Amino acid sequence: MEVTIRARTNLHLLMAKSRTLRYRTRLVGLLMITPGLAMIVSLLFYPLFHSLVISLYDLNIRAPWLGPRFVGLWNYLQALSSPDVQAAAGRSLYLAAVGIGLGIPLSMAFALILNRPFPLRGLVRGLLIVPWILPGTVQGLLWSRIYDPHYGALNGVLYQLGIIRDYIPWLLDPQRALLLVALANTWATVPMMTLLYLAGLQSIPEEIYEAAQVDGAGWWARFRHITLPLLMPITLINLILKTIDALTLFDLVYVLTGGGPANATQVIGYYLYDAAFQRLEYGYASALAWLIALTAVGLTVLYSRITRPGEARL
Amino acid sequence: MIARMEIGGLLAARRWRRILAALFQILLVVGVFLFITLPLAWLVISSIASPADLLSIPPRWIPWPPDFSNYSHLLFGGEIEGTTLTTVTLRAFRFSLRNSMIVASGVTALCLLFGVLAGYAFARLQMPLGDRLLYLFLLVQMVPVIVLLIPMFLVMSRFGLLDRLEIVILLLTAFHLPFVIWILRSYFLSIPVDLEEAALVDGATRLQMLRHVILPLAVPGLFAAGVYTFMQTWNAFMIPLIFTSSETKRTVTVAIAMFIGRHYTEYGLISAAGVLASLPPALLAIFFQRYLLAGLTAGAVKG
Repeated sequence: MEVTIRARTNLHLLMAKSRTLRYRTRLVGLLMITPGLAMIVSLLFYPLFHSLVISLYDLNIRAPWLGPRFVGLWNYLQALSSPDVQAAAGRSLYLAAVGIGLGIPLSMAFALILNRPFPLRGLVRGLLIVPWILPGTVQGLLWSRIYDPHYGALNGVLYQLGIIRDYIPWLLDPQRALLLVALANTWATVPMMTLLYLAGLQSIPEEIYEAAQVDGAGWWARFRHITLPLLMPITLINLILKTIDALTLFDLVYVLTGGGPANATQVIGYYLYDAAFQRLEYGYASALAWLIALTAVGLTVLYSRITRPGEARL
Repeated sequence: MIARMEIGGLLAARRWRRILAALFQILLVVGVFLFITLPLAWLVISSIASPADLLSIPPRWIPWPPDFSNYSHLLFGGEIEGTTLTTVTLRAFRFSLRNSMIVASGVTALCLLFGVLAGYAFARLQMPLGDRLLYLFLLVQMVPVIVLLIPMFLVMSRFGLLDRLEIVILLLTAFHLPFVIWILRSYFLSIPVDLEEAALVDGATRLQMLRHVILPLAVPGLFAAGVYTFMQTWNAFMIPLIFTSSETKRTVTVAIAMFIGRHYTEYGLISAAGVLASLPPALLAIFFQRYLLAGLTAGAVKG
């Protein structure tokens, strides 16, 4: 920050030398942001505004001769009161709950393990990114190969271990399907959570542990009273990121289950896609999209509050 | 005498405990390693197993000899007798790899070009609204992409611009640009300003200085932004899914989804397709791990 301020004043002095120079600097700056600004305004700001307008209309795509009809907040009310939306939102929350309940302890444990020295540490840490960088559709493919009813790895392992007698069509059972999707999704997000925890662990000064050890604190006491509280900001971040992720999850579901069986895995991201681009209810879908967006942005603002500079710098 | 023996015993015990602790640590690391690699391994195994190995019950975990014909078929082959796969499908897959390469490199190049210009302006030249504009950009980027897609789809279809890679590139560029500007701006801010002043005093223009002084110093930042953007774009699914329709315009993520929908029983081939589709981001991750992590931890904000 100091550098910036100094930079600004120095440049200022330089610029004060002549008014034309300052004028030219402004102009150059404007020219430099113009291409990017033009793209962002036309392809982000404009559609944002446009979708707000659409959300107040019934576009009557199925009956174009009727033309768009202004319906005010009707789409929003409909989205908020629809049992389908509530069910889909519930499924997304379930995804988030599994991802948090299972993912947070797991990723914290992973981070603690990987934070200690061991041979080939760089390699294992590098591998950690791989599940996260896998395209979502490939993740779907990967897990459909594992859950496959006839030639899947899960059936194979359980059968060979003698846990199951017959192969099970895992994804055909509506009650099980959502859990299996949540587990697949957790596999992909745990590495990211682990990386954030690792960054958090590195910011805890070693001296605190040394002092605690001198005072006779055992492993558990040190974890309970030092590591856990000091990682709290990261835990909150992971919680929020996972929730946002669950609210927007789409590609994994699209490939793995297509929302089925019997809508059992139709999470809110999938429902939204279905409403917009399969059922063509653009107004209704825009309203719902805005509701989801506001939730996500609210969570993000919360997130940036938590990561105030100086508290948990990543 | 007794005391000395006791001390010796204590030391031995301590050494044993250290060895045990080290073994335990290795065991735990192996656990993490297996958690990550086992699901991946099954996909790779499926892609190189011979049909007999692939379809055996219970599965043959280590297919021997490995059979790479799935890969050669995907990349060079034609119609396979007795399957649902036609030459057209295989060609479409090859097209999709090419399309993803075009889209991801195009978006990365545009993002870096516009990002460098805007990032520098935001870092060094006083902009009207300045940082507030930048925060607004970032806030807009947090909005789930589908909010933007409905109006964009309506507009593009009205102007007959659907099913064009250029449009996919433009949309993805706009979507990733705010974040790239953000990373590059913070990177430019970390470069000492004295160097620029010297260049300015020597009579260099802003653009000359940007090219010859700033950019060479900002290479790590460019890498972080570039690798991150390339990966995110390669993995993009919803935008190419909605804005392309013909088989020759699909990106590889969409092609895989369609492939699974139609030819799911070709286990070996779809697994090989999945591995091929993951290779570019995986290789980037391995070679540019350091840069990627920088972009990724910063990008976590974006969600």
